[in-house]
Amino acid sequence: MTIPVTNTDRLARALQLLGECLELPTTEREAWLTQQCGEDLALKSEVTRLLMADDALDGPLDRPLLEQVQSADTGPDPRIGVQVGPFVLRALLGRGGMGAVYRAERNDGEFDQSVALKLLGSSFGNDALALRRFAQERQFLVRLQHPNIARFLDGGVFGDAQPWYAMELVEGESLTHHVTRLDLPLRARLALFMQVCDAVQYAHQNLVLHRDLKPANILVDTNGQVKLLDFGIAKHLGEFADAPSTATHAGHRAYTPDYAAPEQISGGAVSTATDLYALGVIAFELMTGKRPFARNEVLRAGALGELGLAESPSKRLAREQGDSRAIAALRGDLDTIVLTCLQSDPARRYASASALKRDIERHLSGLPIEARPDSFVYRSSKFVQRHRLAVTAGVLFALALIASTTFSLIQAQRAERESARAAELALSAQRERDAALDEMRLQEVLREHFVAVLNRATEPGTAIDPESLMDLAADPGLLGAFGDPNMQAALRLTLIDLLVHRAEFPKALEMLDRLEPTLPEGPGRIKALAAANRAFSAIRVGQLDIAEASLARAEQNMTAEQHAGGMLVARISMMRGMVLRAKGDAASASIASREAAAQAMTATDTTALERGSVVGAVATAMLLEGNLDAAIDFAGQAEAIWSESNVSTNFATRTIATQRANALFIRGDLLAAKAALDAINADTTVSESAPARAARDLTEAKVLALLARPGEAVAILDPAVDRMCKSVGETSPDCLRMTLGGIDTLQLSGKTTEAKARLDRIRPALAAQPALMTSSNGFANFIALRDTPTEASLQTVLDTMPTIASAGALARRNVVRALLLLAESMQVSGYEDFARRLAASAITTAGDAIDGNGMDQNLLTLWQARLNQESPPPAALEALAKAIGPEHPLVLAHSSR
Amino acid sequence: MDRPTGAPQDAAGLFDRLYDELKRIAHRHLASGGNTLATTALVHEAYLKLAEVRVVDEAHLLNLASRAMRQVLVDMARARGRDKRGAGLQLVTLDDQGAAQTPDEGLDVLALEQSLSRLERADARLAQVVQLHFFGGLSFPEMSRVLGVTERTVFRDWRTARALIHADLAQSGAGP
Repeated sequence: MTIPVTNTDRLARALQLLGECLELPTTEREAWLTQQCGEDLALKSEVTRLLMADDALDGPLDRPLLEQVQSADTGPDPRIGVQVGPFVLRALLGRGGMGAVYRAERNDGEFDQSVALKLLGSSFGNDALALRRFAQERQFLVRLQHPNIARFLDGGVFGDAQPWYAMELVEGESLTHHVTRLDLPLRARLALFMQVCDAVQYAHQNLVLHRDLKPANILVDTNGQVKLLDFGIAKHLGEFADAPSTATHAGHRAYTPDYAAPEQISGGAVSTATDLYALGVIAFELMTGKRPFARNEVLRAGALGELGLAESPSKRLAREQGDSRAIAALRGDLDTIVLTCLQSDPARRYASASALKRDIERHLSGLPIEARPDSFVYRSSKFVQRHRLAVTAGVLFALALIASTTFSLIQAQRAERESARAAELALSAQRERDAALDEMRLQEVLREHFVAVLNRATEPGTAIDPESLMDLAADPGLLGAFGDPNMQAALRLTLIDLLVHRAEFPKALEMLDRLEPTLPEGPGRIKALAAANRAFSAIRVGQLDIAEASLARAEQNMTAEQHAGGMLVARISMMRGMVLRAKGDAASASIASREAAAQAMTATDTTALERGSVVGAVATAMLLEGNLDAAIDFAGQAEAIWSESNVSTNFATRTIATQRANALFIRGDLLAAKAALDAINADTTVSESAPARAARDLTEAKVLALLARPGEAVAILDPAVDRMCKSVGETSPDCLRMTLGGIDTLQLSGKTTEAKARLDRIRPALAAQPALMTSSNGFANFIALRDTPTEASLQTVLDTMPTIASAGALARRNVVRALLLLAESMQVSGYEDFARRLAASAITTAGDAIDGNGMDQNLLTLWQARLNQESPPPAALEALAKAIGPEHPLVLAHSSR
Repeated sequence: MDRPTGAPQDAAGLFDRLYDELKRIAHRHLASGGNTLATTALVHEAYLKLAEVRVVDEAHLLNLASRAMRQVLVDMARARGRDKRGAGLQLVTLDDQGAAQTPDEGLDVLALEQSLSRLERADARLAQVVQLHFFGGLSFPEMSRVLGVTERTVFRDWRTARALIHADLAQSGAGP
């Protein structure tokens, strides 16, 4: 060996100069070196020689050591000629990480078939990890039946413990070798590349990541067909990373650096985007004959995380003094396509191999390509837009359904914020690197998951409605691929939040069933939140006992921080109120709700958004109690909090509008209520869910029935009930409540027979819902009286109504209204005595609880006058006409009496 | 080959054990066709075995293990033959069928050892980086911890050392 510098000191000096030189920009090195070396031309030439070696892309030190050494027990492989399954091994094709691949022939006399047979090395017989990997690779191949993937043929175990499998023998050469040898034109190269995209896309659709895409793994057979090989280090998207720590170390180098994405080199999480990066390198190489980065740049990126954006293929070709027409062919679209793949942020690459292929096709057909520098931003914003529609729909559902709770509002807000945050994070991940570590990791995991969902959602044929996206997001196979168990739990909790706010309670409960048992013993943030979510879902599906137990668990498992922060405490109070209300204890429910509002106002671990949501929920609780002034007061507070915090004005406005329409309805300002509902219906800028619309339609049907427009009322009633029940399930409290509301409306519209039939049908289902049971008993009594006006049925109504009224202010209002309307109905039917006794009961029950100047208040005044044998007070008549219209039968009837 | 420079005396027994352990594991791996995943795993496996025996500084042990790995390979190469090229150890490619069509060149372990020794004399730390990274399979962050210098420095050292060794190997006719 001739060594130019024999003197150790001279070598040390050369190395020192080299080290410093490497820190300089390429263009400055020559001048700097000349200056440093002065007369010592030998030294300069030595450093120059070393600089050239530094430039070389690939040398022995760049390849894993053990990959390069092999015990050379010379002589033919002893296994040649051996029978493995139905095959005889004929020649060694190569050795892989865990075994050897042979050319083998089938010799059962039936037909001749040459195959590639992979045999696990005999020393791996007891290596569980190796056996598992081998089995997995085999399983992948079995699953992947695609014209561009070497086909699995057969498999078995040789001897005691050497698994093998046979695959299609590809007679061909590597992709790069093929295009170079034939000197294929660009178009033909792209056509081959698109076949590679097809194979990768297919693997991804089957949840297999290749992780080691490179030309040597891509053969072109004699028919010009591309065949993808070697799923030896492929990974199933749905599995956890290899558990033992050594595997992490080992896995660290299990790829080919030239084609490895930055996240692979730095040991980050791999995803379909990792394979997309490798495709970008391959495309670059097919276009220019070079790789985008020198090996040392790649390694530097691994070491320092500083891989810059690749030079575009056309620039590289220009730098290499390539043919000017070839350069021109690459400039523009193809540059953009390749650079999109080579983005160091996985989220900025193509969403899928098919999207990549589509752009190449578009380019070849002269269409504009879809890739744009901000494609991820674009996709995220699209996703969030869609998502937000879903979110808003869920929110409106919660609000419109005033007979139920509005607690889901809080959930909805949280979910909305979190999905927005996930997107925001994706956009500003770099900036937030220094944020709190745990939160950061969660957000990264969320983002990765988000990107994976996007990757799959953008596949052709995938539905993009919220439900499909949620199914996609909650797919355990996909979920399993992200983060450590802690992060997994946090990710699942976020999805549960989304499910809960979308009122998909059975799905939420199912996920909670999976999540809760995996949480560690003892208090914990996620544990408490999971229990709170279960409590809420249980309330909504009517399992009050489970709800109570879950609330207790949420309280017990709350962390000190959560306790001090106060928001979860407020949510628990809120839910306590809901349970109490469902159980018929309105007084305690009211106390709990007000407590929740107070706690929410002082909570420190929340945002104005969430705070406003709880206050808004309290407003609804007040509405349910019939305490209209308090309801409007709380609604106003919520509105104020929201407007301070820039919450979507659409959302806030709609919330308040819905609350007002309901308040007007309860007060008996029916014309105004109808106008308010019309205004809400006219605003189509905010999308809403079926349940939201259904609940509001029910209110409208009731308003119409009271306005003596039974035809219109009945017309919108049944579709509304159907829509609700279909959406939330036939047995859910929301469906039962809607059905009861429908029965009430039918009864008010004079359809007592139908009302009675429906009531009988749902009574069994009401057994578990005390509050609803009371209402249904009341309706049954009304119907009996309307149907057969006997002394006995009148007495039942008169006896039971005041008791029901004592349950709360809203119940009192409802009872008063029911008694008044029954009185009117008896009067019309000619049972004047019955009418008077019902009206008297209404007046007694009302006391001074009926405020405002609506239908109920004025009917009370009119009946009072009548019972006193006085003429109808004109002011009351006028006000009644204003509330329900001058042509309303009630107005006409009272005017004429 | 000498004991690692600067290693405390009580490390001598440790090194011997490590060497034996690695040789055993290496033989097993090499006989079965090598393993892409193995270099690091191998050193760590040996490291773990020793860590059970005696509480020692992790950095020191990784250093020792990498050194032992290097020596195992050199000894094996010497034992296999006098042939300069290949020296009894030949490259096998890992690309299943694909590899069969694109055979690569082998690693000349002895030429590498010669170049590395030369480097060791000129700048011990540069040689140590090669030893840790190439023979020990340590990542840059790990090396930064073991050597107590920044990753940037480790990277520069690696690049400098790599250039020299590749230049030497190219000249000896075994490299790229």
